[in-house]
Amino acid sequence: MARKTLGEDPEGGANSCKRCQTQTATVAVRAESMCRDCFLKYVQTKVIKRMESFRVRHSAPGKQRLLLLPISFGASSLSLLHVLDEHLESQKRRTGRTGYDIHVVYVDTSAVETFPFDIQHQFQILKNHYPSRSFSTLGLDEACKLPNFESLCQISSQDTASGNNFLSRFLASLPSASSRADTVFLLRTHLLVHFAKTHDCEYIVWGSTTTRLAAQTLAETAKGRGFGLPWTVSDGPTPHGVNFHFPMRDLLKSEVVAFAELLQPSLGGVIVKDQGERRGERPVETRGVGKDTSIDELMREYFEGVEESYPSIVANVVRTVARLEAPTQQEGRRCQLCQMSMGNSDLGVAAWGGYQEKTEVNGTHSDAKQDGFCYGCARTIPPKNRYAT
Amino acid sequence: MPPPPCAICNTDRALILRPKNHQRLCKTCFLSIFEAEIHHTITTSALFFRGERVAIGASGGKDSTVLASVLKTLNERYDYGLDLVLLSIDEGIKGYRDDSLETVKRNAQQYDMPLQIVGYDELYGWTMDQVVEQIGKKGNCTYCGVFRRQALDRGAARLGVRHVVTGHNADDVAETVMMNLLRGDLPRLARSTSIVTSTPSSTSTSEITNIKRSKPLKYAYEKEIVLYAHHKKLDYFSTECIYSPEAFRGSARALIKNLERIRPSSILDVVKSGEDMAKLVPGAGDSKCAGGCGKHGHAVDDIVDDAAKGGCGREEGQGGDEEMRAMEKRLEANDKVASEDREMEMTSNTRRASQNYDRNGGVISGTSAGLVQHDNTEILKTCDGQWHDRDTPIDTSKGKPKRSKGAAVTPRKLPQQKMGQCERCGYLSSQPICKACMLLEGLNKNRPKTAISVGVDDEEGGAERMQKGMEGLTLTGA
Repeated sequence: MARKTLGEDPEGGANSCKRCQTQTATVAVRAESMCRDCFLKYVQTKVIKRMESFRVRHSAPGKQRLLLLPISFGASSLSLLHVLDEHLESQKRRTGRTGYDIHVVYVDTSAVETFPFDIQHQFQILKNHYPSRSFSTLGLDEACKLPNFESLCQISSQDTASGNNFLSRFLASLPSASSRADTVFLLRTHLLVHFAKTHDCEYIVWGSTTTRLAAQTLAETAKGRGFGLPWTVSDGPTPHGVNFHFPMRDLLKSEVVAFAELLQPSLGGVIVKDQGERRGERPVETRGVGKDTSIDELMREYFEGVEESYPSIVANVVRTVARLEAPTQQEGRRCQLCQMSMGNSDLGVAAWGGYQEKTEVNGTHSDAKQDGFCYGCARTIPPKNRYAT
Repeated sequence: MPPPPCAICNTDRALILRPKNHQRLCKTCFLSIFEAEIHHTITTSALFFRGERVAIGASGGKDSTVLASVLKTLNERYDYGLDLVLLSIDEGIKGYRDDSLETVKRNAQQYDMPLQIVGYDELYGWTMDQVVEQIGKKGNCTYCGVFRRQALDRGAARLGVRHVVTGHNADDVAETVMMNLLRGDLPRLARSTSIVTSTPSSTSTSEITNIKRSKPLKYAYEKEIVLYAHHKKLDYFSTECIYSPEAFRGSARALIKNLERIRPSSILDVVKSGEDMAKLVPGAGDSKCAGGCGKHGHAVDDIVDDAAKGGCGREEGQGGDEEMRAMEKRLEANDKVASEDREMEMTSNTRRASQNYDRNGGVISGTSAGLVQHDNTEILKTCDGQWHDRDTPIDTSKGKPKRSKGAAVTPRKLPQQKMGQCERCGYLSSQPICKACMLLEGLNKNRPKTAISVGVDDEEGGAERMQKGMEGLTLTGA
């Protein structure tokens, strides 16, 4: 049985660390109690193990692979940055060169979400913290300038002319919090993929923990995008044309949060909780699950809850979904918005046998407007929200 | 301002907010669109053939009552030419099933359909009340589910019926998809969304083992079923089973309810995802028809599925999280063994893998090959649908032929279920002895040799109730 609280030994630290047997155990991890040092090493090892293919000996001298590391200022992505920074420094110390390099990028979503903190200030702290790394910031509204943005969201060019303003208006026009969160997530991904491609990054390395990946699995399922799961949460090539890699996939959210806190100096001061997390601090009972909750948020909270008592079950969800096989014979089409390869029955909402409605509520339903969107994306941005906003 | 008119007929007042899409409809239009959609499901999936004798698994609850009512209506309206009968299972749960069976008896008269009731006591020598008395309130749903599945088939055989329809609705299916993801059970995930399960197999000759099951309400929302029952003034029984459901289903159910609140279409969206994921499960590639074609020998459906039906397990897990805790423990033990194993082999594997690298410059797959293979082995074991029978952690180091190192990682197929017949009762089973007989063996072993008790039941006016333990009672063929 995993201990409920991580970061504090329930028996008052009287036990010695299960790993080194010398220091006092202060952290309870799944079934083990560890001291601070062993815990930090445990987290680092779990990440580095997933970075095996980026060892120095696998890279030709002078031709370094570049990895794009998107950060959200959350505990997971910052911890990943920390571990990779140390990894690179140690590679350099031992061999005089590194097996790869990372470029850190932050997608600023302040145009569409409220952020009660000064991003420039936080960014400066981070730069001072990791002086050898290179950093960039992208505004989410830059998604509007993506070459394929109009077909991406199926909107006309006169709409997009207004830039930043347009994006928030477009998002506000969407039917639900779930649609908005999903669209922001997809646009952010597009922006990062575009950045990776234009900056010769072979991989995007995500900070997603196993908890996060499990939540994403169930969220994608709930959004009707189950057919895309072999690409969404797996390591390797994606339909985006850039490889995705999830080095934190063996770690729980609570472990990563504890890691960020226990580091010296602690990352605690730099971490910024996102909107959902801040709202999540109020217990669900007082908040209720309503229209303003998004599917992503619901699933994240659900798994953070499950993780407390059943960490192995969370990990097992992710391992299970990794076993799903991408279809070998593609029926040839890709969704305009999420880019996943889809079959004919995945095209739009009405192509599926289980969809039985003859007419849409407002009568604007037409198959022509369904064009190019998969079932899940057609739920996220319904036909009436396209072209005319 | 007057209430808006119905979105379909535009004349009558809209009194119903349709749960599925929040359309405002009048009562007549709601009833007719609800029926039309089920007709659509039936025709597009080619569920029935003319002249077919079909048994409706009837519990007296809302789902099966609505199913019976709608099927009768559609059968007459569209001239399906079906011969419909009701089939009920008496699990022997006092204060629950005895009352709901009264409802089914009334339904039989209302719909003018013959009714067959099959009791656990006559089939197995045990009522559920007796089972619970012996094994306690926890974990008895397994018994009930296993027994029900077989009882339905045996009842169908008695009626000379080859096709049983059940009241599984869209919520049930969505819940099962989420539950199987949570349990990491891919084979069940692949099976759970099929509208038709267990079609007649050409190999088996026994009449109790090749009975087709289908779920005509697969795309119907639970809330709409309730609305339909209400507006049609159907006579149904709404009390839920007194015994507690399993934790995984409870957890999945709560999730589905919350999803529906956030986005009403979610239930259907999960069903859609489930159907698509079924095609991605290794080894399930040829069942692209998602069970609807009626041609393939589709996977045998699930005891767990059945456990969700017949009215039981409707409440959120108030019982225990026993099941989840047990699985957590098992996975934890597996992980431990796996990681020890992995650490041992890591050194040799990585050395070999790195040699591969130097030679062919392969990147990602090489180094972690050893690890990936190990993960697969682990998951394979937890995915064979049998994990719940295992109490001891699995030792990967024993009894497993070591795979040749450095070989290319080929995708592994999940073991296909091979179906034979139970040696004892002749029922369809992948093992020599079917699940029901296994459970019965355990129950009978612990049964007091001569258990005759006389109790006084206050509710029945002090009538004496005899409970007789039938030692050594075995299954009687139908």
